[in-house]
Amino acid sequence: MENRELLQTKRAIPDTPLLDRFPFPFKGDSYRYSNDSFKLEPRVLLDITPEYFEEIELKRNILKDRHEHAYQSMPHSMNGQWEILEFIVHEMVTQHPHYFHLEKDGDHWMFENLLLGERQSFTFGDASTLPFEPLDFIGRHVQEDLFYLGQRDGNLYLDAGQLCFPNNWSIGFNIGTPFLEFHKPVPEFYSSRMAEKVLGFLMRMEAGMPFRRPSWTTTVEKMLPVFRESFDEWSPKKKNVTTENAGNLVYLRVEDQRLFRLPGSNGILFSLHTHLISLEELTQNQKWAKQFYHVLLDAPDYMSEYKGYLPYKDKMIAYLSKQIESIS
Amino acid sequence: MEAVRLKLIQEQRISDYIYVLEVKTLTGSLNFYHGAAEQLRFKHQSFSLPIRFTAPYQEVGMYRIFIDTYFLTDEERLNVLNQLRTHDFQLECLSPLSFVLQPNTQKVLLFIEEIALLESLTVMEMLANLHIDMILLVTDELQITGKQINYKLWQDSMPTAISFQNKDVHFLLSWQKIGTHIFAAGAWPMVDRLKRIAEDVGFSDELFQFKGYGEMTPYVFCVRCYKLTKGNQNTQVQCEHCRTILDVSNQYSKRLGAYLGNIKAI
Repeated sequence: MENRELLQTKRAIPDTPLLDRFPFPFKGDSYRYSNDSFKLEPRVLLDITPEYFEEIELKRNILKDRHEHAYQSMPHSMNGQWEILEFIVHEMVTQHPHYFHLEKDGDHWMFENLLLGERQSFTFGDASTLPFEPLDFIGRHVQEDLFYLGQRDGNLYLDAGQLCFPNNWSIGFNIGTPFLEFHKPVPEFYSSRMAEKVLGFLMRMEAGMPFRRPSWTTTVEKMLPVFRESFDEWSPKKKNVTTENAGNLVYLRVEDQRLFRLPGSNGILFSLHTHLISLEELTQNQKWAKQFYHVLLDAPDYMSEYKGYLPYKDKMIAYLSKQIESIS
Repeated sequence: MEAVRLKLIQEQRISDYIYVLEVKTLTGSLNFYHGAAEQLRFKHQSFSLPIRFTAPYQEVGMYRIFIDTYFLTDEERLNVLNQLRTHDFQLECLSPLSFVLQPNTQKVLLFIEEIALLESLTVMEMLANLHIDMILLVTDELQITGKQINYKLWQDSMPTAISFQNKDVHFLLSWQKIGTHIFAAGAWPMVDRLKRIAEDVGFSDELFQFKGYGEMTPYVFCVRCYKLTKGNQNTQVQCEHCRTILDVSNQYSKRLGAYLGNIKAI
């Protein structure tokens, strides 16, 4: 019994306060748009936070209720998918041996998620031995959204993806499309030749040299799944934001995006961990509050429109301005 | 630049409206081995009609020209043939053939429709001259009756019918070896449909070439139910399937052959 209790304690995810671990994306007061990727250190994909249990439950419900909105794959993505499963399971058991366990006997694998108390035996490389496609399976054990980008003909294609916490985009529309097409709606992305630069950068990425980039916007209410497919359900909520309630209603939404070259398939594994923090909680860090306030003032309207917060931008600015005044 | 003057050596009527002309160059040479033209020009008269040519014996300045006289009146047709038999002529409005043979091509799956018969015959001729394996296919969108085409190359490679139903085309494409290229010549619906399948099974743009005819029907992808409705970019349409009112964006998916239709903001 003692051993079991010890295990349970070890398995508990440390309850670090959100303010101490939130990946605040801004370096200075100014807003600049660039491919602000930097080398990922340590070179890991997983970020297991105290929200693990609720987010995994939410993910699985979404996959049950609206699978085609949250998971898509091309038939030729299977090798890449297996490589991703192997990559993530390897990181799980080496970085988080208290949470995950693996037994291998040749191609026969027994994967155990100790946090959830789940076991799955399967034959590596044989998709019929798993209840879902490999990417769809392993994605149900991590908080990150996961994508496989296939590289061929001088381009990168979105060949498979599990997207439960989208920020207003549709995987059903974008599956199978090249990276350049995929990014068409980003303002200035094309005119500044940035798409080509980013594509070139991604294509030259090497195995073992992962990159990370933050991407941010805001969301009304604490809502991780912002599906383009249900735009009519969440979009009207923007009207509810006032200067008075912005602190509770509006959340800064940061996607911690990580990119890994997969040496086997020569594709890219793209992971996306979405973090939310209410403006009220954010302002408990005065430096962040001031930075975010200045970024909002600095960002051009076309970018605010693209990111979707233009209708309540003024309310956020007014709220933040008040908070900064009242403290300083 | 010196005008390329051509002289008819031999003619053959291979269907009601299509003629094959063996010609030799009197002066100059055409810019392309395989191409298209829009006009036959004689000294005092010009005729606009679909023209394709290949150069089976390029080294001796010989060309094989396919003309389609469907759009000419009977009188014009007779006039063209008379002029061809008695005068030298030039080809006007030249362009290269829509299909380019890549160096690594081992085999071509050529999907055709009747509307693209002239183009198809030229491509078949080009492939035959270069000794590239070819399989001629017609989809269930349209049948071609080969009996009406009295041309040896055509009769030797009678088209096989393949259906879009039951994923037959999917299956055929997914079992092709490296070095197989796909050419599609026909009306846009067939070309678009084929293109989507080819992309799904992993044929790159380089491996899939096409020439579409007629009106392109733009489609809209409904972001709610993932089905397609006819419609164009930057408009508003109602999804035919789930009745959602869609704001059509200018974001286009080549794979789906459709613009993204977003749920209209209220």
